[in-house]
Parts: sequence; structure tokens; C-alpha cells
Amino acid sequence: MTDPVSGPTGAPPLLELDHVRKSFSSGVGRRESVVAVDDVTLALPSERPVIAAIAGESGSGKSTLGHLALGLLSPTEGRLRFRGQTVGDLIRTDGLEFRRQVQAIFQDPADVFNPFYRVDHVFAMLGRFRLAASAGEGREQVRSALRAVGLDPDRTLGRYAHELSGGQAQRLMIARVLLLKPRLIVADEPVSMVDASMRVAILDAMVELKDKLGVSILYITHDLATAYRVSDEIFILHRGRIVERGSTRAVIASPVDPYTRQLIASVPEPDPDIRWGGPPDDSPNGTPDGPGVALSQPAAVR
Amino acid sequence: MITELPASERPGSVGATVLTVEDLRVSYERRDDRLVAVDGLSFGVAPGEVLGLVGESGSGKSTAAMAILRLVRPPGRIERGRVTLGGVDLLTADPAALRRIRWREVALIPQGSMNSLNPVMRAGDQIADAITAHEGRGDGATVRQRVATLLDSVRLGADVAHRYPHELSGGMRQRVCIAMATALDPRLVIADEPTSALDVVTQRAVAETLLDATHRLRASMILIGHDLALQAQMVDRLAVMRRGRLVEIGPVRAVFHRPVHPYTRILLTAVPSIRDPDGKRRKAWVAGQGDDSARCFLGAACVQDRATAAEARPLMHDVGEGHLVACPIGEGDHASLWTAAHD
Repeated sequence: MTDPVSGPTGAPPLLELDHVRKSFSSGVGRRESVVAVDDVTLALPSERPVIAAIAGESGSGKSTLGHLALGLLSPTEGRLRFRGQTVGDLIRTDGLEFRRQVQAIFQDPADVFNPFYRVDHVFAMLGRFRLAASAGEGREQVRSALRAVGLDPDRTLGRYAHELSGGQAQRLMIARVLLLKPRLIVADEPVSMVDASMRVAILDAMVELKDKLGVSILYITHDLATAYRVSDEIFILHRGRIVERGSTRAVIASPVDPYTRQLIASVPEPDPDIRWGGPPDDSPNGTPDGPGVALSQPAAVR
Repeated sequence: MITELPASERPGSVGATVLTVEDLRVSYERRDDRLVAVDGLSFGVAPGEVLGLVGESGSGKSTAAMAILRLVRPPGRIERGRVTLGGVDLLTADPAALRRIRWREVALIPQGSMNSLNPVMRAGDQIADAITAHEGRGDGATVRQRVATLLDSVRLGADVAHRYPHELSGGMRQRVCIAMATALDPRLVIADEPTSALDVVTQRAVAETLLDATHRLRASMILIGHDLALQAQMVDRLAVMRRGRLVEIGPVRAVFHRPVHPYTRILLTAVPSIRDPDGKRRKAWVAGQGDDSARCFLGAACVQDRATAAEARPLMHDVGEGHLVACPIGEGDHASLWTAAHD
């Protein structure tokens, strides 16, 4: 593969997937095997922060890829390295540090909150990771992080998750990530459940995380338009394989792979004068949706 | 009646509408609280027209659709309004008349309908059921032939009739729902987020099938959704709802290219595009509008003052071509609209 796997200094990539394959057994006696991620090789550089989009439809394996990057799943074949070290080894030897450096933002922020705790609980990790010298300093850090994402600390802290809107909950999770100062964020459909007017604010917050804090983001999405807005590089995933990759602008402007072309032609343009491009799909029975690989999200990020 | 509508839009005075909704108000009662979900909604749908009804979550768009069909369930309650279809007010029609009108005159494709097919019944039998339930049991062969024709009209093979829902993909199940909704040649189809759970490639194919099927019947459609890009591709006229009220309605090109209400402009600038990455085109559309809310941005054209606006439903201003905009007085200035949209 011809990935820019290492910079001029020879520093190992921030995240590197080397011929990664992940299959799940299913069916009677678990004898059938579903391949969710198939021979994926990619790398995010360590010298500069990037937002890399993993774009694909349901069943493409994009969420499995995200779970692999977070170390929540281990690859069936191939290697996954974070800053040169195998992720599985890292978790065994220095799990806490890996869990700080690689953070997750999921589709439904409500999944992350324990309904019986006040939302303040998501900041309890400050003590665990020893990020604040004192309780008072920790509280002030939390308040300033909340303000940074446009939340009023006095109107947010002390509330329960169900009292927050989806957009507020997602911004709270971004505030949490701000405090942890990770190297990498895996954001799995972070805006697919929030309203349009909120979506822009969250996408802008992601770009700010990259530009101001130097955090790289693996942005997993089905939505090419938002990927186009925020990402520097894009990987188009189809049935577990990367079918096209490159700079986001180049791939969207001149896709080569037939599937990528069809995907881009299907994205509706928010302008009544620019109609859906490309030939419509005329195959009988429409497009098969492909084998879906259902995976539950982890219940909580600790 | 405060709402000031031009003759072309004034409910009741128009010959050429299939459906007329006048001053519809729906609320949800809680123990000591009442939430007005739809407030003073008025619009008409012309023959063969596709009207988009958009809004963010909680805007009342789905409640409005259910109210049109009188399908609001407690604690929801239709407080007032008229919904006229073929000369009959659906909100006061007797149950027998209402039953006749539903499906035959107006069909609903509810939200998540593709997941509400009967799992133990073959797709063809479910479509046949929709026909015989309303027309009585006809000749079996004729019904089977109609099912085959309907499946073909939604680009499904005849073999799909013999398959169970779990044997069909999401896109195929949604096509079955479209076939059921169009089975009795309705004059109006109400589709609530009909493609929202589908992948983008399937979404386009199903959306085009839905438009084909309604065009072929010369039926009108109310398309409820939150995705403005999808609406741009599908509708003739667009109505924007916010907090139960209509804020802007007009021909789709007028609303997209010359949005007037601050909230519409916020929504439009928030839509990402792969052909307009920096949003230059949309920023140009919304530029040049004043943000001074102490008076209505329409200036002298508006006679409403702030005090009455907070109490009453806002006036609808006609800005031309049947493009109507709610007076934003009483809704706060541009900055607070942003905040409200973000909270």
C-alpha cells in the first residue's frame, strides 16, 4: 500500500491499520462467518492533525472500523497500531493512558449517560486521569470547557441527561473530550441525530478541536455532505473494503470507483435548480441494502 | 381572524385545492401543563402538487399530518380548525365517512412504515388486504392482478408478492408501503419521512419511485421531512414550521433562493452541500436581509406591533408569487433565534 505511513522524521503514524480484517461468526452453531472489515490498510499521520472521514452506508463496516480503532474490538487478522504500538498490547500495558488518548463520540449521546446520575458524572474521569490538581481547579476546568462549547455551566451542571436536548448532550460530550486532551477522536455519526441548525455548530466544534488543540479525528459517517465540510481525507468503505481514498475534495470532485460515483450521484443537493446527478437506479427491486452487520454500541464510555 | 392571507391562499376561497387546512390547533395535555404542538396552521394543497412540510424535531410537522387524518391520540387533542378534502371537513365527519375517505381519498405512509408491515404475512397479501378492506372482497384473480400491477409501479418484481417482510431489504419494504398507499388511487398521499431510514443510494431510488407513483395517479402529496436537500429535489412548494407555527411557505425555488424569515435562513445555511462546500451560494441567498427585530423586517408593509404579536399568531405577509412569510416580531431578534435554534 502507498499510504503516507510515516513523516519525514520517521515518526510512526498516529493510527495505522495494516491489512485489518474483522469477521463475526453467526448462524447455527456459529459456523457462518460475516466479514465486516476486509483487508483495510490506512494511516493517519502523527506530525499534523487531520480529520479523516470513513464514509459508507449501513453494513459497510464503518462502525466496526471505529470500534477497532477504539480498541473495543480486536482484529481477526492484520495489525492495528497507535503511535507505533499494537493497540491490543497498549490496552494490556497502559490501558488507562490509551483510553485517555483515544476518545469516542457516538451517534446517540443519550447512550453514554447513566440516567440515574447527574450529567456532572461524565466529568468524574478528571480525577481518575489526574488531570486537575485540585477539586476546585477541576470544577473551573469543567466550567470553562462547557463555555467553550456554548453551554452555560449553571444551566447544565446538576441536570439529568433526559433534561438535555440531543444537541446539548452532544456538546457536553465534546466538552468532556476537550478536558481529556486526547490525540485522536473516533466520532461515529456524531451529528446524525441532531437537528440541522445544531449540526453546523457540532461540525465546527470538530474542526476547532483539530485546528486549536491539534486533535485528529476519525469521522465515521454515512453523510458525504458533512464529510465534505469537515474532512481533509476520505476513505469510501463498501462491504468492508476501502474502494476509494484520497483528499476529500479530489474524491468528491472526480470519483473513480463506480460505487463511489453512484454514492455521490445520490446525494441530494439543497438547491431545486440542481437536480440529482447521474442516471437513476433502475435495477429491479431497487438496490440491495447489503448485508447489515449489527453491532450494539458500548453502553458507556468511562 | 388575525391571519391575513392573500386571495390565492385564503382557505375556502380557492377552487383549485385538493386539501385545505384552516387554523388547525393541536395540543397535548399533561397533568398541569399544556403543550400547543400545532398552532393556527393554514395551507392548501393544489391538485398534483407536492408540498413539503419541514421543520426540526418538535416543530409539529408530524402532529399536523396526523391531525389532518384525525389520527391524533390522547393526550393529544385537536382543539380547533377545519381540514377540507373533497368538500368534507375531516375533523367533523362521522366515523363511517371518515373511514371511507382514509385510504381511498387520502393515504398515509407513516413514519417508520417499512418496519410496521405485518411480519407473518406475505407482502402481496398485505397489499391485497388494503384493497379488499376498503372495496370488499372482489374476484381473487383480479385482486392478484392489481397487486402485480402495483408492485410493478413501484419497480418491484412480481415475486415480491410471495415474500415476507424479513426477506425484503429496507428499500423494498418501503416500496411495498408505497404500493399499499397508492392501491386505492387516493387524491392525496401524506408521507412522513418516507426515506429517512434508508441509505442515500436507496433513498434516491425510493424517492423517485414515490414521485413517479403519485404523478401517475395525478395525486397530490404532502411530504413531511427534516432534510432540506431532499425536499429541494422532491417538492413543488415548501412550508417551514417552527414551534407549531408556519413561518414561511412558497414555491420551492422562492423559499430556497429568496428565503425571508430569519429561521428559514438559519436552516438553509445549516445544510451542508458537496457542490457548494463553503456555502457561498446559500450565503448569497440569505445576505442583505436586515436583522433589526424591533420592527418587522418588512417595514411599513407590516401593521403588527410587538405587543400583539407575542399574544396572537403572527401575520402572514405575501412577498409575491404566493410566497408567504410570518411576521417575526415577537419571536426575538436574529441572535436570539440562533440561540433558540441551538438550545
